Amino acid sequence: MTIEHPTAQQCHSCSAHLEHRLYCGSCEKIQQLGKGDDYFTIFEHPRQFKLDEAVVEQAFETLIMALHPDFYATAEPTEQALSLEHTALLHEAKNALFNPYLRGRYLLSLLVPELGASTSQPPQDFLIQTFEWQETLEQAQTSGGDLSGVEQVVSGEQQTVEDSLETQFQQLETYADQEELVEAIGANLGKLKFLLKLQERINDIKKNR
Amino acid sequence: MKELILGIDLGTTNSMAAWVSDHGAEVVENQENTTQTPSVVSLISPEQRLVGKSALAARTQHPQQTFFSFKRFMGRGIADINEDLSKLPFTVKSGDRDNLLLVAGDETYSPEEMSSFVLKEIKAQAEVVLGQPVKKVVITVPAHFDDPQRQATRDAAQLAGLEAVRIINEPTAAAIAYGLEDKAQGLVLVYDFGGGTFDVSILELKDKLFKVVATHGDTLLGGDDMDYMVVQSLARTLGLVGSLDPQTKQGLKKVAEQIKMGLTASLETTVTVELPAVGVNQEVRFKRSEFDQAIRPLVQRSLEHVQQALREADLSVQDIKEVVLVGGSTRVPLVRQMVSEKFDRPLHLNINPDQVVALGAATQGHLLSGGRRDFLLMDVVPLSLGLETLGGTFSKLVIKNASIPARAKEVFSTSADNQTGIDLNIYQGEREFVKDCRLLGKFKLSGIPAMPAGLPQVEVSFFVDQNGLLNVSAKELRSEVSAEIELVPAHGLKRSEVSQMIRDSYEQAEEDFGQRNLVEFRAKAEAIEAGLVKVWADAPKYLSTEEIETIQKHRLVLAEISQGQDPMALKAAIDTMGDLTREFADSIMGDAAKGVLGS
Repeated sequence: MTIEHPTAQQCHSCSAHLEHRLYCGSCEKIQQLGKGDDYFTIFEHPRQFKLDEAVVEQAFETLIMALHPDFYATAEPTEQALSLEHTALLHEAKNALFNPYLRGRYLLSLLVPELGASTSQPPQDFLIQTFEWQETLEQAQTSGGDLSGVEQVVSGEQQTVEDSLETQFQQLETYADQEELVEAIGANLGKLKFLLKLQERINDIKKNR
Repeated sequence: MKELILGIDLGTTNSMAAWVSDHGAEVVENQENTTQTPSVVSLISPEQRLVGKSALAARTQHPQQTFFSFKRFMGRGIADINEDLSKLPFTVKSGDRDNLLLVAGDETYSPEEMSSFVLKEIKAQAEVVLGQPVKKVVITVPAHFDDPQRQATRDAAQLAGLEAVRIINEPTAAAIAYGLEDKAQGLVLVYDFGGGTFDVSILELKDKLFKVVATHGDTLLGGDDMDYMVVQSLARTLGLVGSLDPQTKQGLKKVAEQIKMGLTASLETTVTVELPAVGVNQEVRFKRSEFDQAIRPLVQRSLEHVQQALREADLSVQDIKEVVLVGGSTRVPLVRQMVSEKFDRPLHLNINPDQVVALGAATQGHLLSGGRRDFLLMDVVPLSLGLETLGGTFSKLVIKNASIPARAKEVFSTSADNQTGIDLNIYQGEREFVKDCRLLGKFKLSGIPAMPAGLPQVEVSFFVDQNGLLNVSAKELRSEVSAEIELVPAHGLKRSEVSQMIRDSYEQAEEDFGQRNLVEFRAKAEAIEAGLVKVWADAPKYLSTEEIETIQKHRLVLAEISQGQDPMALKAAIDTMGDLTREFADSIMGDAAKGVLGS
């Protein structure tokens, strides 16, 4: 299945060709969101798990300089409201894309909309595997043991999961109707969420030393 | 013409306004008048109100009616103030909600009203200096101000007849001024030690984008606390024990300020201490070393906040390219020394620490009015926002240091069968349990159809707007029952109270009002004249000689009345001019020109 992307290409106000989805470079009118606009497309980034941070960062800066409410303080109320909404969306979208778990969950919901906002749980055997790491963290927190070992393991595991998700999402993009694959992605996302939490805890412990 | 939007630094000890003239951002003042105003209000009687310098001068004569540092009480309740209120010379009491009131004789005033008196004074001074009405302002607040404190600041502006088009953070305002002035790039730390509050903000300056990456602070740490340390030390030296009378408290505070200033440039200072109520009249010598010893714990506390901000931004002192000092308390040598040691480098001292906040606010105002668009400030939520969930835990929706405007959604459910309402308690803070956070308000989403527990899906949406103020809405997704939340504020003023106060103040201050009208009408008369000049050459095409003569005469009359002091006469003359020129305007220029001719 290929992804349809019926985005409006013309400005609703002056009909100029749109270079960016959210505003018109020609008459400077802010555009309404339409079908096909999502966290990826507003930044002109392909809908895929592998993220090109520079592309998003660059698009974000261009868009925020064009859309921020500070530049619309004297505009009509509708423009003001759109500016506020869109800027909040830019922040929300960028936050989600830069977090691999949220990015994966969002992409999955785009590719398999009927799944809804279900949260994924990590598989049982994975959880058992993490007990050891958690114990090490526990010790490090109370008695100040070395963290570098467990940190390396966690970030290594995270990389593995992300690589695996990248491949799985590529497969899913070609054929969305694969129940097992969707389940496997869900499991990986569950792992990823868990690993990010562990990483956060490691950082907290390090900061509070 | 671009609309005028003033920048106002509403400080704990001093306030001032700035604007952007053809020469750039500058404080609003001339030889005779200034907007630089001590944030002090003396309410000698309900009819006699002194603001600023004159209030400061009245403090020892009217110790119980002269109020200062009321900014620290804005949007706060008695439980939020972990300081001993009895050390103040005036009375502060708890209101019937979780708010604080200042007592002047038989009357009580909210901190918002006190601040509005200061704002009114600034507005009046600015109108005299600039010769035009002031309606819109950007007001700065400490970065660490929470939602009720920001709301209280807006209310104060409204009470003063001003629209706060934007509330911005003091350190960020300073960063705007600094960043544009020095064309600085990279990571900048703003250390803002003011009269009543301490803030630290870390910003990333990258091309035109000024992005706040972390902010931390203490709304109860400032120069006031330094003064109090000196007061305590003085009281010991003078053998004053037990509770002191209001006059002595004001007197000691005044001496402490003198000592602090005297020690900025020298290692020792001598002040005359006159406290008639306790029979003290003597010279006191105070050494810099004594002062430093007294205030060291306060500076230390500020540096702990700096460390915390660095931690939150995942940065070390080496990553910071420049340290910018803001606020009057950074004139204290020990502060400079300790900050410089912490960062192991000289500090950025090119800017005036007292003015930079107002100048930055004015620059932001200029941007908002469309005067420029060559920079953008991206500020953050200073404290996490969320809801109470099961067991009194705090579930955060918008996390601290998230860029604003920000939004977040989360779906909750019911815990009992056939539950038709759900209570949503909104909190702000960083702790795990709501009992350690600050309650912003409560509301109930009712009318949910009866369903088994856990089945309803209540989606709660938070939206933090460009002023850092929170809006909340909730919707049950299965039934589409929704509620827009009018937060009932747990602190500060209710919306209805603000409106009532505005009505009252209009009735009381008709004179102020007349003065304001005069300024507005003069501007209007000027605009009419300018409009006429533009089209006057075409007049013979549309008007008879008689009509031309009548209008010419009235132009002179209008110009003359504009110079006078009577707003009502000026209004009448403007209206007459409108009548005289209406047809002319209609016929030659159509609707668009009507505005110019004032009809």
